[in-house]
Amino acid sequence: MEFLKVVIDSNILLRTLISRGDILRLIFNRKLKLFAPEKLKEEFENHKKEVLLKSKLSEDRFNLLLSLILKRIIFVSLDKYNSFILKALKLLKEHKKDKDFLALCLFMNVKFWTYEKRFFDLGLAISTKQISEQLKKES
Amino acid sequence: MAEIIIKIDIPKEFKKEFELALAKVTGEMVNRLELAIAEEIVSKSKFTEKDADELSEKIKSSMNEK
Repeated sequence: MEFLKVVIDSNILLRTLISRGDILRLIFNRKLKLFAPEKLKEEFENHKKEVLLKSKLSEDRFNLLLSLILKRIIFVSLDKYNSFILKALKLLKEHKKDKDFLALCLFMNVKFWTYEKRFFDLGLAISTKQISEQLKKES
Repeated sequence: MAEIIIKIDIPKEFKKEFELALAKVTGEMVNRLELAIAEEIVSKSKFTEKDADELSEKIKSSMNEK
């Protein structure tokens, strides 16, 4: 089976919690392999209460949903992509907050699944629509 | 935890083929079931795009503090 590998943005991950979203279906597509910096998982856990509050779901249901979603993602530790941080910072200029995501993309040589325009300008991003079309083509 | 038992008669000589096919089918079934559960839960969610944008910024800021 051929896989499409991408690094997932925190914004995309959070949008899986939106009702009637297509993103959730893509997350569960077995031909899509998702990667993210390990720090994202840690910070997601740290902000869990806030996400839960805004979703208005019961804690049990929310925890089940979260476990189903997070197990679809391979979280990569900083030591694996650390050598690409400098290059990422140079490309990002003032938008340093995305450095881990970009460094991971550079390390893995894969695209960044995001909505942020500057990554598309850099030729490093892939949109939800593009992922959907690519997966359809390969099925 | 719900448990499902399915019995299928397969000739002994096709054991290997059966096991390979079973692994493929059960993998797909588990995936579909998990998606269905996730979709059912998410259908009740009040989370919005604005919430996602705001929280994403917060999470990224925290990631950079480390």
